[in-house]
Amino acid sequence: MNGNGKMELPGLKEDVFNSLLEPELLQKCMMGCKKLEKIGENKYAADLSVGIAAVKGKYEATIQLEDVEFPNHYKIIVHGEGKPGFVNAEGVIDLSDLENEETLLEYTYTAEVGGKVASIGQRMLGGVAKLIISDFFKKAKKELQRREKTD
Amino acid sequence: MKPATFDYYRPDSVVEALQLLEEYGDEGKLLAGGQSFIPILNMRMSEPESLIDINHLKELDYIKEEDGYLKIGAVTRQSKLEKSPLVKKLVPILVEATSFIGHIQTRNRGTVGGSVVHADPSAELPLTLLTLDAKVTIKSMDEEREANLRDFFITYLTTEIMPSELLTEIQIPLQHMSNGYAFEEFSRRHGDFALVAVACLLDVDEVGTVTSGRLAVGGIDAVPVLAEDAMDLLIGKKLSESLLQTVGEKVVEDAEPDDDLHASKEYRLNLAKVLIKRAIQKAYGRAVKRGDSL
Amino acid sequence: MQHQQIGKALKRVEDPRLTSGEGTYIDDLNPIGNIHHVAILRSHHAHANIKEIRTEKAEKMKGVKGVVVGKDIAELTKPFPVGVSNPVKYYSLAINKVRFVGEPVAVVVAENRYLAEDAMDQIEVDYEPLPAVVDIEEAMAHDAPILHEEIGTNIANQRFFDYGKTEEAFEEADVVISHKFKFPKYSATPVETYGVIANYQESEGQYTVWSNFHGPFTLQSVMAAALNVSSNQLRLIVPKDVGGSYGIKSGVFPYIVLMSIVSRKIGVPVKWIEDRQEHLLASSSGTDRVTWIEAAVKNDGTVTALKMKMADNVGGYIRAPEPACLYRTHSNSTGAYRIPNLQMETIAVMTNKCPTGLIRGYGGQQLYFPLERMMQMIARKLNLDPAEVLNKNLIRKDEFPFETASGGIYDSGNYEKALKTALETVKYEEFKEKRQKAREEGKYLGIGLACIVEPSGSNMGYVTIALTPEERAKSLPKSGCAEGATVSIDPMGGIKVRISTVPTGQGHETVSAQIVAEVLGVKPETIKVIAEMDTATSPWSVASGSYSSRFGPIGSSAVFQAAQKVRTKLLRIAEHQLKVPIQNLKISNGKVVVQGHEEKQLSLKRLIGTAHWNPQDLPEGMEPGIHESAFYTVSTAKSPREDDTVNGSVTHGFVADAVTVEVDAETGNVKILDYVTVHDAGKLLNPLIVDGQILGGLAHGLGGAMYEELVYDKNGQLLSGSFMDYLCPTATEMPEITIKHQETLSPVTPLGAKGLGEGNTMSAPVVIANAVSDALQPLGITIDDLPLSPNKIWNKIQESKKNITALKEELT
Repeated sequence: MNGNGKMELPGLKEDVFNSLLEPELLQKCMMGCKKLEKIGENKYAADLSVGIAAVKGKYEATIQLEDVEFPNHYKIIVHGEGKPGFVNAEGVIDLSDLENEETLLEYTYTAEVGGKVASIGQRMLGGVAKLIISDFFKKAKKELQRREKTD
Repeated sequence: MKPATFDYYRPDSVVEALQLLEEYGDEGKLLAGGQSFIPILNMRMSEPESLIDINHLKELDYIKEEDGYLKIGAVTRQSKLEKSPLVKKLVPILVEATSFIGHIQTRNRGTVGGSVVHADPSAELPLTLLTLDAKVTIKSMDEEREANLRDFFITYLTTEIMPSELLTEIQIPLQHMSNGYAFEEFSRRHGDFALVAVACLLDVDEVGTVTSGRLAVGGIDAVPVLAEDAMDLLIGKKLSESLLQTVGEKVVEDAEPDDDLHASKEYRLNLAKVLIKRAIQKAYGRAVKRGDSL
Repeated sequence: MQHQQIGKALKRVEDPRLTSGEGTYIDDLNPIGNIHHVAILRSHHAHANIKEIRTEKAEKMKGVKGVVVGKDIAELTKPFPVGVSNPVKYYSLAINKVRFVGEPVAVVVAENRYLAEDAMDQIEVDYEPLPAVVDIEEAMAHDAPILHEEIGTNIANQRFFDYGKTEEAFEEADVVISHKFKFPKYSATPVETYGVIANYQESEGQYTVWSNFHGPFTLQSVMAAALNVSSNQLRLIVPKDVGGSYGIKSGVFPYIVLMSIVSRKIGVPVKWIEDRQEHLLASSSGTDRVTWIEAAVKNDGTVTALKMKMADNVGGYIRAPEPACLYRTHSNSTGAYRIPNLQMETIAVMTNKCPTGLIRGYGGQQLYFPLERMMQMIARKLNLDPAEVLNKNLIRKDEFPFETASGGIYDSGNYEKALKTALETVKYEEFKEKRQKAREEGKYLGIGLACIVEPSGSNMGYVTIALTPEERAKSLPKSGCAEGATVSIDPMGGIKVRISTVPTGQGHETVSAQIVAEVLGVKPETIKVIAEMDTATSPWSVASGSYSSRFGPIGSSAVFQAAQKVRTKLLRIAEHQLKVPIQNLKISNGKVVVQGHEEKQLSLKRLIGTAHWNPQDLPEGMEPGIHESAFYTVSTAKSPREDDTVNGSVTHGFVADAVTVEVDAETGNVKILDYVTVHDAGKLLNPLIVDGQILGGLAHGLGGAMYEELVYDKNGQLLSGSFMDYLCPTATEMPEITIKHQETLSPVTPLGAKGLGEGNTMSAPVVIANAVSDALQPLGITIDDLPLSPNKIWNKIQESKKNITALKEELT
C-alpha cells in the first residue's frame, strides 16, 4: 500500500520540525500509543494499539528516524509486530514555508502488512492504512495548535 | 479460531442494557445478530472485555407506521424487514435492498440496527437508509438524542455513536416518498459483500421529466456516498444515455477507492457508473409505471 | 452380463446416518482418555530466519501442559523422504527458518483450544525477515532469493522428455502456434478440515493416530520414516466418515507426524482440529503453473507435434507425493488426440507459498488449460470451426487400446460419439446463429468446447518418472496399483466387507454392497461394509486410499474379486453337498440352485453354517470359516521403461464439454447459459452416485474457472485467507447442467468400470475459458489465465478497445 497527503501546520518550519521529532508528541499522536521510550539515537520503542472501531490489535513497534535533514526532510520507519501480524511502514516527510508563519507538510508513505490482518482484512486495509496515517498528522496538527494557544 | 476470554451479559430490558453500557461500554461491545461480529471475535481481530448481548430486547423488535414515519426497532431481524407487507407497501426499496444482504440464513439473525452501527462500507442498509434520509434514535443512561444518517457514518466501521450509547430506532420519513426506486448491486457471488451498490429514489411527472431524485453509492469510499449535486443534474430533464453518463461521472468524480483483490480502483469506478445508470433507469421505469397506475 | 445390483441407482447407505447427525467424523471421536488440545503458532513471515523462540510466558499460563518447538522436532524426527534426487529438508515444524506464511513454528498443548490459543498469543518469536519470492519465473531466475541453501536452487526437480520425431514434425509443419499460459493456485476446501488425535505410548514405543487421512498409503512409509520407527509402530486409524477431501487431506501427513511428536514430548494424547484460517493458509493446494506450449499443425487442422514446458509451483517445500503434480498426466499429455510427437520439459519450482499436494484433477486442469485453449487457437488461426479441429484429431474408436507418445495406454473409448452427443445436446449449429445475431446487437455470446481424457487409477510407478532412468535403476522399481478387500461371512450368515479405499464421501460402502450383493445373489441391505481404515488390521498396500478416482476401476475390482472367492467357496461347498459339478450351479436369491433342476437347491445359510458349525463336512482340503481377501492390481500398470514411456493410469475415461456463455461487456461479468457434459467412464456402478460426483467435480472446476484463487502478495502474504475472499462457488453459482453418459466398457477391469469424479474439475476451467474467448472474439481478446473474474475480463475489454482505437488512429 502506498499514498500521500499534505497538511498545513501552525508555526515556523524549524519549530514544526523539532516538535514532530519530540517523543512526547510522537506518543500523543501515534494511534493507541501507551508507551514510548528512546532506545537509541533517533530510535524509539513503543506499544501501539492500532485498528478501526472494535477491530484493534496490540503491536510492539520500533520507530526509527532516518535521513534527518533539519529543517526540511526526514524519514520515519515503523516496524510493528503483534498477534494480528506485523506492519512495516515508511513515511517521508517534507516541510516547506507558508505565509502566516505556517508550514506545509507533505508526506508519502509505503506500508506492508503481514499475518492475519493481511489475510483477512484485505478488503479495507488500504483505506484503513490511509486513515491511520492521516490520523497521525491530524493529531499532530491539533497538538501544535494547542501548543500555539498555550504559548 | 477461538475467541479470547470475555465477560458475558444479557440484559432483558433497554434500561438494563444502558446501565451495562455505562459501566462496561468502553472496553465492551454490543452483540446483536453477530453475523459480522462473531467471526471478528473468533478470529481474535477484536478482544473486548465484555459482550453485552441485546438479542433479548424484545421491546426493540418492531416495525410500525407512526407520525408520518416508518419506525423500525434496532433489534428487528433483517428477514422480518424483508418479509414485511408494511415495508413492501410503504418503502419497497428497503425490501429490495435487504434481499441482497448475505443469505437467508444470515438475515434470520442479522439485525437492522446492527447493520447500521457496524457501518461496513459496502453494506446495503446504511446505504439505503441514507438515501431515504433516515434518522436514528440513540439512547444512553443520561440522554436520548436523534441523529440524521447523513452525519452518522464517519469512516470504515465507525459511526458517531459513543461507547455508552445504544441505537434503539430507525425512522424513515414517509412524506414525499418517491414513486420510483431501485437498488442495484454487483458482487462476485450471490450474498457476497457488494463491490458496488446503488440505491436510487426518483420522481417523474406526467410527461416523463424527473422532478426529484436521491441516490447514494456504497463501496467507493469508507462510507456510503450521497450524490446530491449529481442528482440535481437530472431535475427537469428526461433520461438520455449522455445525461446518465454525466451524472455517473459527477457522482464518482471525487471518489478514490483503493485497489483490492476483487476490484481495481478503475474497475470499481466503472462499476459505479454502470450501476448508477442502471439504477436510475430502473427507478425511472418504476416511477413512470406507478404514475400511470395512479 | 445382466446385472441386478451393479449399475442400479441405489440410494446411498451412508446418507441416513449423515443426514441425521449420526455420522462419526474425527471431531466426534474420543477414543482415549486425557485428551488435550493444541493450538499451532504459525509464521506470519513468508521467508525468515528464526533467531529465537521464547515460550516461558506461554508455558506458565492457565491449563497449559507444554510447548513444542523446532528443536524438539529436529531431535525426534527425520526430514520427510520425497521422490526427487535432490531433496530438501522438510520437517513438520520449522526448525531454523520459515519458508511460507502459516508454516508451523510452535505447538501449545492445553486443556482446551481456547486456553491453548491464549497461551499461543504469549509465545515470542524473533524473526529475521528475508526477501520472499512467489512468482514461478522469478523463482527460477539467477538472482532469486533461495529458499533452501543446502541445494542452492529453487528448482526441486527438472526433466526433459522427447518422444517420436518432434523437431522433424515442427520443421514440416504448415503452421506453428505458440503461447504462454498461466494457471492459478487453488485448493479443495472440504467442509471438514484436517483433524488429528495422536497418542504415543512410551511403554510400547508405539504411535497411534486417528486422522481423516485417506492415502495414498505410500505416505504411511513417509510418516514412519520421519518418525524413525518401523512401519508397524505407527498405527493409523481413519473414521468411516470424512467430510470431503477431494485429495486435499492427503496433505495432513506432516501434521500426523507433528502431533505424534507433541504427544510424545508432552506425555499426553493430543487432539488438533484445524480451523478454516489454518486450512486456507497451510494445509495443501493444487499447484500454480506456467506453460509454454507450441503446436505443429497442418493446414487441415491436424496437430502433428506438441512441445510443452511446464513449471509448477510446489510451494515452500517439495513434499511427497510431489512432483507427481507434473507427472500424473504424463501419459495423457497429448489428451484425446492422435499426436505422435511430443517434447516436454517439466520443472518443479519452490517459492514462499504453502506446499502443495493431491487435489481433485491433480495436474489435469493444469494440462488441459493450455492444450484445449491451443486447440481453439489453432481453429481460429486456420479459420476452421473448433469442433472440426477437435474431430480431426480425436483418436478413433477403432484405434483402441491406444498407446500415446509418452506411453499411456488408453484402454477403450468412443470419443467422436461423445463429442457428437455434446454438440447435438448444446444445439451447436443453432447457437452459432444466436451468437451471430447477438454480435449484431452488440452483445457477446460464446460457446466453448473441450475434449479431455480422464485418467483414473494411478499406477504407482508413474511418480518415478521424476527421476532419470539412471536414477531409477538405483532402487526398487515401482509399479502397480494394488488394492485389497476382504469379504467374510460370520457364523450366523452376516456378510461383511472390509475395504481400504478410505472413502471421503464417494459412497464406497454403497457400491461395495452392490457388488457383493450381485456376486453372492443377496440383497445389498444385508451387507455390512466396514469403511474405517486401520493400518493394523485393514487389508492394505502402498496404493490404498482414495485418490485418482481409483475406487471405480481398482477398489471395486478388489471387492469384486474377494466376493468371487467367497462365491467360489460357497459353490464348492454346494458342489460337495449336492454332488453336482460347479459349472451347473448358480446363486440367486440367497440360494444355490442346480441349473435346469431348480428343486435341487441349498440355502446360502446352510452352506455358511457348514463352513462354521460343521467344518468336518467341508470338501477335502477346504479351510473352515468364510473369510476371503483379494488384492488386485492391473497388469498395464508397469514401471516406466528406459525410454521414459509409462502408463500412468490403468483406465482412461473421456469427457466432452460444451458450454455457452454471455459476457456483459459493461461489467465483465460472465454468465454461463448452458453447461453440457458428456461422460464415458465405462460401466457405471451406481448412476446416482455417478451424477453426484460429476456435479461436485463440475462445481470445483467452476471454482477454478471463475472464483477460486489463493492470492499471495509479492511478500508471500496470503490475501485470500478467509471465505470472504477465497470464493468457492455455492449453489447459486451453479449453471444449468445437462449430463449425458455413454458406457464404453474397459477391457482391463472385471466390471468394465473406469474412475470418474475428476473429469469436470479438469475440463471446466478450460471449457469456460474457451467459451469466454469465443464470446469476445470480435474484440480480439486472448484468454490465457484464470480465474475469469469480472475485473480481469473488463480489463481485457478495455485494453482491446484501446488497441482498436489506436489501430484505427494509425490507419486514418
